[in-house]
Amino acid sequence: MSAVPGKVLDAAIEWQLCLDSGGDSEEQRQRFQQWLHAHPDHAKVWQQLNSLDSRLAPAATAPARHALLHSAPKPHRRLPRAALGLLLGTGLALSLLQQYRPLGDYLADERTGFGEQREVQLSDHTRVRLNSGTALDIDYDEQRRRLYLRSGEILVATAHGDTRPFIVDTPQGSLRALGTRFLVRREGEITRLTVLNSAVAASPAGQTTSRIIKEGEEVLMHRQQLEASRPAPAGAAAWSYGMLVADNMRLADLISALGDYRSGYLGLDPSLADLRISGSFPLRDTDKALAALPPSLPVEIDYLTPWWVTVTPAKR
Amino acid sequence: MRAGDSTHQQLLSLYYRDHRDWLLGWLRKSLACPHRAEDLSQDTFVRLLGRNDLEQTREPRALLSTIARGLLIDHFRRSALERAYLEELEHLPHTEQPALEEQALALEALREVDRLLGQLSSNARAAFFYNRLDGLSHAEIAERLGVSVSRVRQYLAQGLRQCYIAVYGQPT
Repeated sequence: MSAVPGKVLDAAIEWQLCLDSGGDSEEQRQRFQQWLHAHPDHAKVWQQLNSLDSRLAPAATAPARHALLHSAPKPHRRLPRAALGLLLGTGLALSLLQQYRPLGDYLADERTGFGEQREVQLSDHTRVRLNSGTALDIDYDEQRRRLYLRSGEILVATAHGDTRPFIVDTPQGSLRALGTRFLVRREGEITRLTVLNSAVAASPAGQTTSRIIKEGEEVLMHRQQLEASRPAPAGAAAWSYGMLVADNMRLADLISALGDYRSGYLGLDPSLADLRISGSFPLRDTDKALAALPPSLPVEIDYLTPWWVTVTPAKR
Repeated sequence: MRAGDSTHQQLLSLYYRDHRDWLLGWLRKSLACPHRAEDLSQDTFVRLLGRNDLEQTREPRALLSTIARGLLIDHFRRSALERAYLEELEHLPHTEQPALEEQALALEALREVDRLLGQLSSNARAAFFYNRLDGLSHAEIAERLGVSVSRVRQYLAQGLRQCYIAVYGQPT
């Protein structure tokens, strides 16, 4: 197959868009016919362009189409050039980012990057605060107000005076607010619900019944079942003020929580996992939070690159 | 047969002997599955077979990691597509779920479409589908995506060019 000149391809694409935009006049159509017959290459490229549609046919079903959209490459302009250079330099970090951030998230209506938090006010004055690395779809209609949490964590404060039900969905099930403030967090195959005020009705996707979770309670929802409710930890909503409050927390849990606020890899030597720590840690500057560990624990922070950090036993 | 093939072969086996374990270790850091790392390390060496610049290579590990990085990114792209597709299927009622065999075929076809669409962003892909599969006008697409009509035209031009080149090759 011999390649055609780039100019011919440009012209053919231009004609496609021109004729397709609906505003084509008789005169334009004549000029197009002239172009088409001016050279065999023109007709050839035109025919090739038009044959492309049949190759897109597998994308016609809804699941296929969504998959192709959700897994599309991220536009590079979202990363500053310098950061991109560094990422490509470390290669590994790039693949880690792609591995841990679901690629579909950036299609979401609202989202935050790692280390970023944001508050959005919805049309009914409900306020939703997005924690780091969160992707959220907003779907309001006349019957209901629905949010879909794709990943991450949100703090919802519903507005009063709207009679439509307010629902937060995740793959694990549905949470219906009963006039209230609550946290929803995606943790792999589990959704964690923490109710701060009033109550929320939780119904797992695989069940027909729901259970009311009351103020001060927390529950883990799986697709098939709800675990028993338990008292919510005191610092559950501290992130919304930019802090993480640890109360005799396992170091492994703290590192995993701080990891949510960083892109790249934050690792912990397994021998340190069960150390305990209390204190409050700034989330907007996780390097500072990490730096606060060595004075109270026998650990060192090992910066291989800014994207590859491990907490290791202190060398004495 | 190319002249110097035997040197090429010798270099290759030298590379394999000296750097295979290192490459495997490098890949394992990025991949949870050790078999996958094994596969990609093999693929990396297979790619070397086709290169005729080995003699000039000063830093074999830099070359190996460049090739392996490309393969890794491909791998993550493919598994992202697969994951996205399977997740979409989960939302379907059980009666509408395709059989495993159909799923495998559909995924194969999807990978090919994904290859055609290449580096197109999700907005460009959406615009392209709306236009080529649904026959929506530029203005309708602009409205759905919340972008200007001229942006839509850019997306469509990108889409046509990208697909054309993926199928018929780069124009001269």
